[in-house]
Amino acid sequence: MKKQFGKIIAVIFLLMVSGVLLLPVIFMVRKAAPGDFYFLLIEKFWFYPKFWNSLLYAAGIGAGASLLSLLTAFGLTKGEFRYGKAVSFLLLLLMLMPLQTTLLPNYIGLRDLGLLDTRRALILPMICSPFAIYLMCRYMEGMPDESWEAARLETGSLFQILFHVVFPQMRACAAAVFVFMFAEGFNMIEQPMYYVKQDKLKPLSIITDSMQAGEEPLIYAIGIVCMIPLLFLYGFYEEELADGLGMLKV
Amino acid sequence: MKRKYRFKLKLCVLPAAAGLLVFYFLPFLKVIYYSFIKGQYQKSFVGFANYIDVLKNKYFQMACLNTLKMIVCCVPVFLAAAVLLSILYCGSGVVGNFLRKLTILPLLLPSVSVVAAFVLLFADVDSPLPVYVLFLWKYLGMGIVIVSSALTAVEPQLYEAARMDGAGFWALHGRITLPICARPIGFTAVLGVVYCFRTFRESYLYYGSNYPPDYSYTLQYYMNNQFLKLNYQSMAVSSILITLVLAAFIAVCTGSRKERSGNR
Amino acid sequence: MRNKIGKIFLLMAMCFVVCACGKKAGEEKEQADRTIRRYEMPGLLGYCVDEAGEYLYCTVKGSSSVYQYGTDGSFIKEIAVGVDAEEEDVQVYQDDLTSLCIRGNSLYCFREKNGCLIEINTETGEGRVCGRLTGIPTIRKIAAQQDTLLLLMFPEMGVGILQTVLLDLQTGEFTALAIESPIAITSGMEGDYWIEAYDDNGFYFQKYNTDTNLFSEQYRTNFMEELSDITYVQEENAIYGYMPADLQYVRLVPEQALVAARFSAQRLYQYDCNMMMAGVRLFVSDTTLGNIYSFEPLAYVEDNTPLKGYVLDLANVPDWSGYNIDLEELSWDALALKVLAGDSDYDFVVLNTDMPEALAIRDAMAYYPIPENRIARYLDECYPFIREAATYRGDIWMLPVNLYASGVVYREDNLAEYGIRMENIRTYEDFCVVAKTLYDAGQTDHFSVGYPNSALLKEYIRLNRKEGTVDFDTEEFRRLLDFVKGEYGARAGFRSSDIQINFMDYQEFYNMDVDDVERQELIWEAFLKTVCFEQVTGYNWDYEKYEGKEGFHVCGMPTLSGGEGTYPVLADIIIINPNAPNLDAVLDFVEDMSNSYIANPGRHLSAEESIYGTDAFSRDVYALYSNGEIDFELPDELFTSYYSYIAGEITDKEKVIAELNRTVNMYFGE
Repeated sequence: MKKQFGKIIAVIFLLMVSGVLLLPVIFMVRKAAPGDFYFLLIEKFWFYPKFWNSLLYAAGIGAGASLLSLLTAFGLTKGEFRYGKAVSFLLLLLMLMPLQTTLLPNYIGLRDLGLLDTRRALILPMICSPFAIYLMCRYMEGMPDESWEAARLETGSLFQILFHVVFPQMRACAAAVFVFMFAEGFNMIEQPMYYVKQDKLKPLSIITDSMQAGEEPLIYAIGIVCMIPLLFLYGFYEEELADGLGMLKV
Repeated sequence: MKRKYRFKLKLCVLPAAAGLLVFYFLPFLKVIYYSFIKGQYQKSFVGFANYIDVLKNKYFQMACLNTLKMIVCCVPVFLAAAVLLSILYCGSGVVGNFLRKLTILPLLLPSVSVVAAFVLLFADVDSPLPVYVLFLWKYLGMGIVIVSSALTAVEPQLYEAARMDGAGFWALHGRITLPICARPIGFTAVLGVVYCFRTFRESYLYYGSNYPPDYSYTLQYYMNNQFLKLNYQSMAVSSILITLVLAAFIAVCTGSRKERSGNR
Repeated sequence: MRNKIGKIFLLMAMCFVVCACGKKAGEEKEQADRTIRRYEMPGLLGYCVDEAGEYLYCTVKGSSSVYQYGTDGSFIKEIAVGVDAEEEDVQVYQDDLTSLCIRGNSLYCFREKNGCLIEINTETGEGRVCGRLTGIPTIRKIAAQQDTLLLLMFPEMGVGILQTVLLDLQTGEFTALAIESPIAITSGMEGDYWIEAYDDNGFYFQKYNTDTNLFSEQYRTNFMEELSDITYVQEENAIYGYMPADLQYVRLVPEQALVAARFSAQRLYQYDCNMMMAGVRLFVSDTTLGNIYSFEPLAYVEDNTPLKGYVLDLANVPDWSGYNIDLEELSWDALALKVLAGDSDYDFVVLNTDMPEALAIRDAMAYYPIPENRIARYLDECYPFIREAATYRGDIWMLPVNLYASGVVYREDNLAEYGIRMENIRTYEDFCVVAKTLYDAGQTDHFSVGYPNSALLKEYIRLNRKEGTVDFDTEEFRRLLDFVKGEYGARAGFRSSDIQINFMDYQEFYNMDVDDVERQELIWEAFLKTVCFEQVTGYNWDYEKYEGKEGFHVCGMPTLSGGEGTYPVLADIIIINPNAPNLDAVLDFVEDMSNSYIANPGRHLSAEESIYGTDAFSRDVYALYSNGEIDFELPDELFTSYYSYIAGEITDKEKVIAELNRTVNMYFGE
């Protein structure tokens, strides 16, 4: 009896909490007039290219980061490096560095490599995100050695091992990393603002920069439209995400 | 055979290492270099003069204090809320599950749209509370996601056994959940600190100015303003100092964790 | 009808080197022919010049003939045009022929009376009607190609939107081209027409090919104003145009329309100039004055590597004096990043001293010190305060290219009628009392004066800036706050954050059915009758209309200093990038610009009294500027509490003062 009562209280409390969390969202939805959506999606052609740009960057970053971090983490954890702890420490440190720190040197680096004002400038730095690598490392540690050692006996090719043994096991984790990095890539602001100048390369997150004066109310509609692909992604991958994160042996 | 494999494995790291080198390490080294010279256009070495200037600057000190306050106030609340809510969500069956998925929503929204709504909802308060609330609101979802996934990995038998022994709610979770999920919770704490730094964006949008009220003036404002004034040296120094502090903090944490696991 | 014409005109070689294109200090460049020829043609309506530049054809008011002259000024013959006489029409407007255009031996013109487009063979004098328009259109320009004519016209009387209409000379059919908002046209290479047009994103050029009936891609420019007329020069693949807003000519290559050379030659005060290139000379006309001018544009355009500059606001562009410049507008964050990164893809930056970013660049020493020997003349002749502001640690870090000093233009005699003497008006309080007196006396329509509420704040800061900070906790500032709060909106009669009394309403003059010259005279007369308080911010044209006129005076805006001390002057400044890729070229550019600007009295940079007018007004302006001080301003966002107070959002004065002190200290102390 008491347990049920307790459960009901818990649910009510949770509903309240969710309500509070969603309050601004609801507010936003109310503020976004249907006319805005029409305007945004049908009339204003700057919306679509920017939206696809955002998706492209986010998907590119997500996929690139999850694959690259998979490879790297595999190498790092199973390669029996001597200074594993130091590497882990370093990765954590890099993760915690605020973006403003590396903005200028990254800009100079990209400029010298001739990558400024290209799509690669936005995707490449984020693919090597220490966050993704760190996360994947923690997952990898949980993977039993026997599974891939057995495979090693059968085939010499690293690629085969990765593809047939490691990846299936780490699928959930890769999905988790993909979702994290996708969200990050979708909402990045400083990089597109400074690294690309051409309007056709710009994503949706810095739309407010190029909006004209009278269009402020549109940001609510934009916010909602931005939310939708992420919602879908999260919806589809929620199971994998939960499973993957559950395997996290941080 | 084994050696060749190990070598190949080590090679795996190469592409990411190259990327990290180019986009993170080398830039960081450059930042260190910049912190020791006089100016971007006067490349004379001035030793620690920049560091002394920055540390003596009372606005830098104020910014440090504010940032520290934010971390000390927000992260524990963030952590506690994440853990508590995860426990509640996971324990409330289907409804709980669904509501849990909703918590990620604030994170997915672009800050611009959100803060506009926030400003309208919040009255003029004379403290950094709105920014704290913004932080919690936006990033709680992520904390819940991580902790709740860790929770689901706990075997239910442990709970059954403990309940049969007569453990109450707090004892149950305090003795079983927390120790088992210690590492994910620790990771969430770290994430909380990372997100604390990221809230600069939201704070800036909320106050709409580079010069917010004194209590909200955090390190990122200081750094951003130095950047806009073309004083890159101060910004470099602050970045390095922050990194050093964080490094020390992490070292302490991982050190103590090793000790704890060593003792067990 | 025909008699008016009997006049002979003409002059050769009027040596008129016009403003902004001053004399060159260095004589290494070969002296190109910069003479501007002027042809006087009273009653001029339309003209054209043949491709070789030998003959000039004109039409004049009240005559139905085309007159042919040699470009040496000699009269050759008169070609009477009567071939359309049979075509009678209902609405008669004028007999005149307008909009001439020539191609080979075919001269085209338009008779508004019956809407006929007439083709005349210049050798035989025979004509034919090649098309007929209905609806009483007004044609602004005709461009001709092999078998087609392109007309830039207002399709009907009363319709103020231009259209481009293609006429097929063989069939006599008209087709409207699908291009929105065209502004100017010209014929390009074989079968092409160039059209300058406008859309939401700015101005652009587009080519229309009559064979394929297709438009080319859009070549965008970064101009803030349009070119009222353009002409295409095949040998150079360049478009020349005239920008009436800045009284300048522009030369650009359409495929790189962002890189343009601007130069000043013959100033035209009329919008339509019917520009055409013949041989090496560019011809333009001013029908109000009845003049046709010709000059060699390439003598004015520098043959230099294109320079690239960044501006924070495209409205602040300097005169480019013939150099090919690519100007791009950038936000400060992005520019700050480029400056800190030491980018070498741009040559200079143009800012204004009202931007705190200027001082940021100076303090970071992100400039290339301009060698003093290059701008020796400028430094010698400019006001000392300019030199002072431009010097930092012994180097010249920037060069002011435009000065803006806020002042008030007034008429002594009119004010005296109300018992007001400007010498007694010392502070803003006095000024508002005076304005109220005038307002109460019924002078509500004919003067304008305004204090942007920011002006008083900025003055206060300028005068009270000590040791790197400003203290707002003073009696003076409190009084200022009271005043601004009290005056805001009280007298204005309309919601504005400016303290304004009233504006002169020019609309009544534009509604009158008079021609431009008469209209200007009427406006002027009305001005003279008024008290004529006009606040000016220091653009050239502000002063120009008063120069030489009697009875006008100017003084600095009365603010806080009570007439003592200096007046604040803002300046557009140019700063050279230390890593500029074309350092020599940009130094040449700055040198040439400095020499031309210092010699131009309209820029008010020179301290040499002799170049300014001797009338009282010009002397006043000179006195105003010579008593100036360049004002570097603080960022606006520090003062949001001040504006909130004025708007009534904050009511506690002490809170405002405390907040202002806090933000300003934070800005300086960081």
